[in-house]
Amino acid sequence: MSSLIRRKEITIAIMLFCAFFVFADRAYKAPILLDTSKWVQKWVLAISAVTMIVTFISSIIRNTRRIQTSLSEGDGPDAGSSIVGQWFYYGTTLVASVLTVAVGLTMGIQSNPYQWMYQYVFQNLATAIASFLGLFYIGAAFRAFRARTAEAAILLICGVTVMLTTNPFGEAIWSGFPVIGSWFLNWVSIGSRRGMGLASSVGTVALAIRVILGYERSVSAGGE
Amino acid sequence: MSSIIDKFENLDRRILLWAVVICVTLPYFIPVGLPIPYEPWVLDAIDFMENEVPDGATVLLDLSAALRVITELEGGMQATGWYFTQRGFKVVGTCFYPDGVFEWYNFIEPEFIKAGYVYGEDYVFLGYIPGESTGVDRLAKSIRDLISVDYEGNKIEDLPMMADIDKAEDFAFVMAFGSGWTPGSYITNWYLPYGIPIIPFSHMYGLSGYLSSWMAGFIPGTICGVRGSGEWANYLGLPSTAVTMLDSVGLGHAIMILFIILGNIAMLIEKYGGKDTESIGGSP
Amino acid sequence: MAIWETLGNLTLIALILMVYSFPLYKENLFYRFVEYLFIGVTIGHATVVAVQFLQKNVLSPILGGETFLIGVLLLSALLFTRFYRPYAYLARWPMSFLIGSMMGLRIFASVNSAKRYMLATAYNPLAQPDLLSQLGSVFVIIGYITAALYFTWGWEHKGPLRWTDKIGRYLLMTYFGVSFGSIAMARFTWFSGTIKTLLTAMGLI
Repeated sequence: MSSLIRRKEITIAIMLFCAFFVFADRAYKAPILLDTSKWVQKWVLAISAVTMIVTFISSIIRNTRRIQTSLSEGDGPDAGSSIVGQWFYYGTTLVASVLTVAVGLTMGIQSNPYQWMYQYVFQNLATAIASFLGLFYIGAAFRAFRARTAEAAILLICGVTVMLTTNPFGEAIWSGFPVIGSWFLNWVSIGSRRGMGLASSVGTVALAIRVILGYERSVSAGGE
Repeated sequence: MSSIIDKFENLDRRILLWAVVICVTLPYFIPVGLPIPYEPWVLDAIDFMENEVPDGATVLLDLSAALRVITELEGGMQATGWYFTQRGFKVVGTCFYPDGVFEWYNFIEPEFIKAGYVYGEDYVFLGYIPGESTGVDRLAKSIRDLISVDYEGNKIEDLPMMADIDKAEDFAFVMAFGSGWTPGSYITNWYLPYGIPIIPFSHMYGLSGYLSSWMAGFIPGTICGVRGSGEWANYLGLPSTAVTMLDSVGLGHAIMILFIILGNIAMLIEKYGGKDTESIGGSP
Repeated sequence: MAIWETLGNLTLIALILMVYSFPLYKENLFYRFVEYLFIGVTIGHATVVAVQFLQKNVLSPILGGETFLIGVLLLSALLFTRFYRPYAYLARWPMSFLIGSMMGLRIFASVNSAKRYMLATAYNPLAQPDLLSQLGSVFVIIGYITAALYFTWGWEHKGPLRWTDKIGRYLLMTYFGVSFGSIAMARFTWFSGTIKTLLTAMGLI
């Protein structure tokens, strides 16, 4: 019985069933297709929500194991700071996630403690961490943006022109920048973008068919 | 001369970054106040809302922007909330990112409350819906089949406003705030099958993608980034922090472009001065 | 309360300075602490919102009599078997629902968008009002064909295809340059917003 349940044909059959009805409902109008597609997608939404809970539990287990390893075996020469061990960082993640869930579920998202955490910790950290990559762009652009070849020169010219187009400083320097930049944005780059999109659409369809038919082993037989 | 160029090529990255930080911070103390001209895709979006959508229409407002882009879009969100109340739009709010809940309660609902809007009669918030593209597709087919209660816990069928609203065709248009895939998903799942106009309100990186949809006629217009938010707020006559932010961003860009140009000049001097260009590049 | 607002502002200032200590100085324990803190808070928040969704749209209807949804709960519960290795294979069943549904949508969206954009008449050079737009629409058509050909690997690219590859590469570089410009604008704006938040919290503006 166990070997019957383990067969990858069951997962392939489920994927084929869901993919067929979701696709067919979009391509053809028929009540049975619509009803089955609605049923499938409603279940998918609930499963998506449960995967977040699984992620949370998985993160607790993983961080606890890492803390145990760090405390018992030490961190080795390449790990982290010499002042604190890795256990401190894993513990930070663990405490932060558990505290957030505890406050959110017991007091609610609209409660003052949760809103405080969200406004003063989460919101600003999200923006700060996303934005500091911008500083690395600057360093990388300074080192790497050299017009050594024709391709590099084109990339440099388009990038700089668009940067000068999208903020008013460019127009203040020269009124032609917005004209040229808009031309690059609206016309020149769009064709190649669409061509790349066409190629990626073909690749996506091919990959989707491979996944549905079970040729992608990591999906259909994962965990073995 | 070549030693100066070598030193410049091997400049510590931190000096450059501090120069950018100073340039970005300065306009907050010494505002420049450059005027913001309107971009054609923003004008088209405004023209559509002003001339093709009647007063009192029903609108879907999707707040699926991640928190990291909130600085770009918060002015635009507040301006949108205010504009919808001026036009008497009935608004159904939703989000496919958990952060949308925060955005609704901090930027949108306060405008509705100020305008005297009544929950359940003038606006409804469906809350966070997981499932990404699947959720957008299901929302177009039937709201009631997708979720049974709104974010406040009220049953959908008990809300007076929702009596005639259940699927995509019941909406006049969709204003989709997004930091990634969501507005594009609305184009695929709401515009292409049902013809519902979509106005993507995205961060700056989304502009090049939505411009191709605008050029192809799939969307009436788009408003992107802090510049779009500033133009939208300016048009409505509302105060906006976008002007100072654009000055700050512009000065930062100017410094970055200056260093890139200087680096290229140094490279050209080295190249035509006969030095081996493979050694150019400096330390990481 | 004012004290919570003050504490919040102090926390905000400390966290932002810790984040920027890495690029502006060097990697240090404060930056790593804030990095791991952010991961924890993100996971926690997403979990809280997901649980709320389940409470409202699955558990409440089940308690209200919609027993059909019990099947959803049972299927979703199989996801937890991944923590017990002998039965971990059962977690593939609910994942198959997710993957199948997503693949069905992706296939339709990919085929539909490719077809629609190919047929879009906005790029007809003869329909453009001025010379710049006519030239631009010629670039669009050339870029579309050459970029698509660049990524096809079913046959060797020699002879005339070497020229289409070259032109395709140049036009792809224009797209990458435009993307870089847009990303740089976005990242700078977020950076500027963080600076504004910091200066406001410090009371300097």
